[in-house]
Amino acid sequence: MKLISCRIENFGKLRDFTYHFEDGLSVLFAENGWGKSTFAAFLKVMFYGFDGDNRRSEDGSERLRYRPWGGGVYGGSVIWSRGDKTYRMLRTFGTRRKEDTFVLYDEETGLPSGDFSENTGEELFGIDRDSFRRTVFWSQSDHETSATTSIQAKIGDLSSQQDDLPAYDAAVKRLSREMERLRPDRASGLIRKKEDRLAVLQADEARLPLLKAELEECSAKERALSDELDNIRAHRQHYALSASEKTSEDRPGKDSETQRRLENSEKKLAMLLEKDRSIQRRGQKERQEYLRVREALQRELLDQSRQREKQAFIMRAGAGASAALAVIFSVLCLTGILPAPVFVLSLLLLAAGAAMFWQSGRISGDTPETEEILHLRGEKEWYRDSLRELSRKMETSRMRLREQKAVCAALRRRLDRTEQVRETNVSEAAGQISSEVSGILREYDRQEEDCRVRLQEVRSQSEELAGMIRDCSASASLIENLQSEIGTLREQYDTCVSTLSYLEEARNSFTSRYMNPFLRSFSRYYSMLTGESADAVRTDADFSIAIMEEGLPRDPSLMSEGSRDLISLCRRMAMIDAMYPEEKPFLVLDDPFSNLDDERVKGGLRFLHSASLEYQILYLTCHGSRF
Amino acid sequence: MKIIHCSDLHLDADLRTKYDAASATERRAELLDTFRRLCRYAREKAVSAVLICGDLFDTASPSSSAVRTVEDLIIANSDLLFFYLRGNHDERPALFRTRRGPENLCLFGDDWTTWELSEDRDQGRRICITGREPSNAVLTSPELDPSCINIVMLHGQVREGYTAPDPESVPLSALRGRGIDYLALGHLHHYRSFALDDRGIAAYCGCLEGRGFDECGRCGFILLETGESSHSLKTRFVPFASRSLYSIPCPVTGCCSDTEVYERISGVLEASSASAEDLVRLELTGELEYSCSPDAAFISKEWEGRYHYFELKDSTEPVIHSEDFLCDATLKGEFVRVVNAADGLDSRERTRILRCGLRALLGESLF
Repeated sequence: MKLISCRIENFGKLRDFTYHFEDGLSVLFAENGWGKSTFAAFLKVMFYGFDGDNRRSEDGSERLRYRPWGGGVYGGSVIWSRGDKTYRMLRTFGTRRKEDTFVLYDEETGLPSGDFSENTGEELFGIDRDSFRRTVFWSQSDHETSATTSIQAKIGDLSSQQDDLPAYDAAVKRLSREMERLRPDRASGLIRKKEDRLAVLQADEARLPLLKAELEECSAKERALSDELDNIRAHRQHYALSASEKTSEDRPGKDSETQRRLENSEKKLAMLLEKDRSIQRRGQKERQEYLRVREALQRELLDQSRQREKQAFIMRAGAGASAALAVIFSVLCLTGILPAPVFVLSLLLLAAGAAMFWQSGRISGDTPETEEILHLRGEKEWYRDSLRELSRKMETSRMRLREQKAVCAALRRRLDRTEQVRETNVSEAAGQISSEVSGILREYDRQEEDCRVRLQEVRSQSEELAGMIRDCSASASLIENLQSEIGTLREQYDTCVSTLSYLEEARNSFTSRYMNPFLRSFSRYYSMLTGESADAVRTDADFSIAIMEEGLPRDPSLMSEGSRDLISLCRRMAMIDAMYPEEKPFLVLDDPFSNLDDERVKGGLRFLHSASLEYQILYLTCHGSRF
Repeated sequence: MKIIHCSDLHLDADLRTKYDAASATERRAELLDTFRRLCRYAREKAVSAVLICGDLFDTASPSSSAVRTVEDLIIANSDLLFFYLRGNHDERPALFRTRRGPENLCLFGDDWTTWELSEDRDQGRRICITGREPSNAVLTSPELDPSCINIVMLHGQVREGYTAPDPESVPLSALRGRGIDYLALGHLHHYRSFALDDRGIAAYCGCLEGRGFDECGRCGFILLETGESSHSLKTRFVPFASRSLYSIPCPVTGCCSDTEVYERISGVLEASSASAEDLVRLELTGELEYSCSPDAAFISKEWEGRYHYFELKDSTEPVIHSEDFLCDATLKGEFVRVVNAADGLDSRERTRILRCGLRALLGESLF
């Protein structure tokens, strides 16, 4: 890739300016303010377009900054070659991008060429604008040289294969986004939100026992009030029946209704009686069984005790005999009747006696119960529990019987009364309704209304509590799902974290393969510029540079401006070497040695002459000492 | 005489773990409607009694509207006797308008309670319904008259032998050889029938309507009919649910693309007997290449309109052939090699990381 010439119609302060480039080193020496940086910017804009086209201020937008000062056509042309083909590229710029024009001609035929589009820079250099600024194009204001993905891809020559490194960037972004979305340690993270929700649900669940207890209390009140209301209504009905029966014709429906209810109640009573009898029968049976088991258990315990005593007696007798023999032998030995060794025998006898005595104590003490006794004991417990329960049942049954009998009696009375009323003359009955009965009826109405209101209040309260319990129960049923969901999300988050880490490791391992050629180039340029060896230089997969000083890596950003520029230039050149192993690009260097001391400037000039053997270089400077 | 044995209706269940609020309300209404249909069926088939062996309601505090509906249905069917065992969900008596509830509703206490149903006039036999609410007290044996047809109602999980008192357990040893002809059980949500002893049989009727995918298959009730001999009872399971639940496995091993997975799903669903009224869970099983990740949202959208409810469960295991990457010079190959060489990862974790990383590099969704 070579620049042949360029013509600027109008661009910033430059107008009607033509420049012919040398094959190797082209030096443009001019005083400050001549427009050297504008010229360099023109070349960049011709290949890559303007920076900051979306910004509106001159600081941010190159389009505004380089707008021709004296008006006229905004733009120019560049003649350049690639391989064996030469092109003339014409661009004019309007106030907005869509007003720009771009034409590319084949310089030999003079015909328009479609070999490159408006994105000539990317197509020609294989890198984006940002990467162009960090490698091929050195501007005075921007010495940034860190490797972009585009640079790494170009160095790895992978852009034509799988777009792996751009895919890496996209993958990292996706994983980071997912981690950000899930983050358990931030209130905005999904896991945290779910955990907060879980805490709310668990709090709801914890309220359940209390609410249930309250509801139980309310229900008890409701039952009591309901019974009270039933009683009031029953009494009132009795009086109302008297009154109405006396003032109206016979109402057969009522008679049959009461009759039907009485029949049902009597059936229930019969059933309850049967049940009561059944409980009694069962109680008797189980009592007999209980007594039988208890007796058997006592018998068994007695037998066991006797047997133990017998064994203990035998043991004790044995122990006594042994002891007696031991004493006799001892005495005989001491008196010399028996030989001395027999004394040992007597001691053994004494020991055997003691052992038997101890064993007899054990036998008579606590020994484990036999399986039979354990079984009987268990059975006895079971029957005792059962009998207790039966006794409780009996009480309940008797209570129900009493209640049911009362209901039957009340219905019978009502039926009798109805019958009496039916037989009574209506007019006569009407006369008998006393004001006292009416008063009682009103009093019943008042009591009923009062009770009904209280019941309604308690029911509302119960309903409200039941609603709260339903909500809390619903919360409880959601907890398990939510916990499982949180578990899955946490697993996903952990997977993202691990994946990101392994991807980074893979990327580093992947790019490190291209490090050696990069380092060789860097060392060559470093020696060229400084006259020193680059042994102390270290680099990583991002092509970052560190200088080892006293065994520790030193960040170039902490060095002087001159040293930084030097390292930047070497790094830039090493990357360009690695990026373009075949056809070399042209380089634009806008006063790169302005921060170097005299000695280093000499090295810089040496570098320029050496590098220009391989690269076409446009070198712009404002000082005579730097060319 | 005909008797219906049903249980575990779980009326007024919340259902919000599966449905959105509107659909949950609709499904709750359907559960109530099934009980309404049951009453109609009983009326039409001249059934004498309905045994509800627990969990009529899903919670201890059902909504008053649900309680009223049930109460009204019971009152409206005054020719039917309803025998109601509360069970472990509706722990306390439902709040009927009167404390004792409708007259044709027979309740049980913590002790054995026996109701004589009525005389079977054709055969001259008595039918006794005996029951006991689940309680913490030891389950004693019921005292039954062997000359009757004895039906015993209980709610809980049957256990062999005597067990420690547990409201959710039904020790069969306490019930065998006691003259039971039919042990009507509730608690388990699937139909199951087995011999109790020489005389009787025991059966769980299962739930009346399925709500979750652990209640797949036929749901309904058991219809009992007194036979000609003195103690014979004919039983028949009657499927009755308005909707069925299906959990359909779909093996996708060997599918190399999303399209193939969709085709496999299509085939499996079309071959199933699930209809538009049913609830379907499709479970993808088997192994899938890491690059193949069927879009759950897309599949659900495609099929949820065809069934009353559709959900997709992905139980597939990802497959990554690490040997394919041994000589891969790209970043993907490097990544696979790095992860495979890493220490301290179990195989599941390794596969998960590989799948996530490779899919990230492919620009696909991560999970």
